[in-house]
Amino acid sequence: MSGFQERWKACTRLARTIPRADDPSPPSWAGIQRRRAELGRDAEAGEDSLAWWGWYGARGVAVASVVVLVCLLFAARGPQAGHPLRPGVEDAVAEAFWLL
Amino acid sequence: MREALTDLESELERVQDGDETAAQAMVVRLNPLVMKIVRANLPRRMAVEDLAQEVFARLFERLSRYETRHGIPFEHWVSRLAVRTCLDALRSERRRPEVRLSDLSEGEGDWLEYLLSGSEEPPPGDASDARATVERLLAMLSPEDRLVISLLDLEEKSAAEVSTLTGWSRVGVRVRAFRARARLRKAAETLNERGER
Repeated sequence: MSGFQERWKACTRLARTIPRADDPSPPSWAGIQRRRAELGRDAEAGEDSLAWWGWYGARGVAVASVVVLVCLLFAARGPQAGHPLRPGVEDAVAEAFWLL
Repeated sequence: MREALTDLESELERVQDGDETAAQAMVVRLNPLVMKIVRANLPRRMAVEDLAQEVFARLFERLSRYETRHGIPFEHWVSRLAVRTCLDALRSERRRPEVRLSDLSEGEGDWLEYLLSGSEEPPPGDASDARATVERLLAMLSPEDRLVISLLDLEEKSAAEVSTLTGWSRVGVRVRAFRARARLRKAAETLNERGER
């Protein structure tokens, strides 16, 4: 243990000898109930905001899936039709895919 | 033991059923335990009663999550909840106080000098100076550092007990305590340097 640690221990040992003051009386029941109601409202608000994200999240996933399907369709049909996608377009599609 | 558990189970059941008398009796019974933790980890600008109220509000809000059969004593569960609440309150304190050497009393200054010197002999001042010095230095630390030092050095809890109270691993508690003490020393040196400038 370093010298500082030893002296810190000596300091806290002495600090602990101070008798604790009497405990204040318990908080009021009305106050506890009021705060509890606030906590309940905060939790509900949190759930609402999550629901909002869920709503948009589900639609986002649906839109992304459609875009991916369209990209795959293009990729599959392009070479068959004898018109392969031009390299630049293909790169752009691949980039869009990875961005999604 | 079985009888005590049954008493607790019936008390919890009554509180969860909305029995206000049982809930108020529970507040009175748990008040000393909650107050001890709250007073040891109180943010600067918060009243003891307000933080205790927050602990009890959270306790009743989450009481349904406590299961007697999980083997965790109810008092441990309450202590852990109180510690977490205090930590949240300390974290929400946006700025830590900038203590200056001139803010310290003569006795506190002597203790600071003793902590940083190679002296063997503690200063002759009374215990209140030592306590004030400890509190000033703890207030300069981060909430987590302050909590771990306070639990280990002031409340004399073991690393295992701190681990139970905070949810940190035992090794995590030891590592955090080691680093917190290093930062404590740095805080003392900074305070001393501010006075020398």
